[in-house]
Amino acid sequence: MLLILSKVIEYCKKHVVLPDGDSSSSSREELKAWDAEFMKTDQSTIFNLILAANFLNIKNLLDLGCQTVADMITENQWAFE
Amino acid sequence: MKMLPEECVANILSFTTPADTFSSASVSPVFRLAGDSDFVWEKFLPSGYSRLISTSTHRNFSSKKELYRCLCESVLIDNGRKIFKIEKLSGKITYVLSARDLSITWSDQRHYWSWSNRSDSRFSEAVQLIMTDWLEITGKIQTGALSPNTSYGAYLLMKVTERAYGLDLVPAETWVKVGNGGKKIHTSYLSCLDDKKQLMKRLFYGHREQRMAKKEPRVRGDGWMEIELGEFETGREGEEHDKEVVMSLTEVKGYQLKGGIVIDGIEVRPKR
Repeated sequence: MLLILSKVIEYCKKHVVLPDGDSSSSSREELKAWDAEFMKTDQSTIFNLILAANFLNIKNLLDLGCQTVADMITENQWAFE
Repeated sequence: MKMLPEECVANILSFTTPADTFSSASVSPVFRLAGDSDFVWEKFLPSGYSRLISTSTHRNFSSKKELYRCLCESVLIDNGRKIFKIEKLSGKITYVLSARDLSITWSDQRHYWSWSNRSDSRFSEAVQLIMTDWLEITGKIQTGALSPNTSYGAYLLMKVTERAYGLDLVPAETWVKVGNGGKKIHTSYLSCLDDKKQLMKRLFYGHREQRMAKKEPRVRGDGWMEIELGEFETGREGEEHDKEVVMSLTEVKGYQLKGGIVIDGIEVRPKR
């Protein structure tokens, strides 16, 4: 669980929105690429990230996790455990 | 996956397709429950569906999934002038414009065109050509009414009666234009040549097979034929404002009189 929490914090730090409304230093494309890399992990970590984001009510992370699983379902890569 | 709560599974399914959601119902009870939830089907329903439903039917729907299934059957809208439908597996929108909804030159003149209630029509009336030398049929639709990010084809729904004449001499021109874009003109014959005429054409043109290069009407599964008018793409949702799509078929270059073609409307459907 400690690993998951640290990953959630890592995500939130990357996606921080500055007080003046601008997002962090990265551009949208860079963020998308970072998100894709972030999600390249094992199934159980993805599940736990979804659970954590759901519990902590972090919509962006929840949607990212769900979209990742959805993409795998659509491409028939998901082996249900 | 069974440790994920239903709302998470529903969130996941909402990012897939109606096809995936239908087939995932057999995975587990959680998937089945999530796959039935309004949250998921609200995402798959086309935007603006509530306006469509309120004008066409007064049924009460117990769930968004039931409403989705209802829209997969054809729904008459706009005072019976159009048909709206969504494809079950993809959720993409199809429209059929009735003959009344089209602009057909001289169709108000009863010596040239005859309107009638036909049992084989999908609308309350279809129109049959009695006689004209100027055949011009045009339909219009807004891209905003269709599904975004989709390749669409426009098809003229028609039939040829037994006593038709003048339809297979000169091919018609068809085109589709979106907004201020250009139009690509295609040609198609209005009827299929019978075998005898096909043989004569082949003898005349030899191996050049001129006839094969031009399109002919295609037989559909519902007893009608269709002529493809052209194709177009819809843009991303919200990215560009609504554009008008104009779809047209004209046969005005041949000076011969033509008759015996029946028009049921124009179907605008996603291309595979």
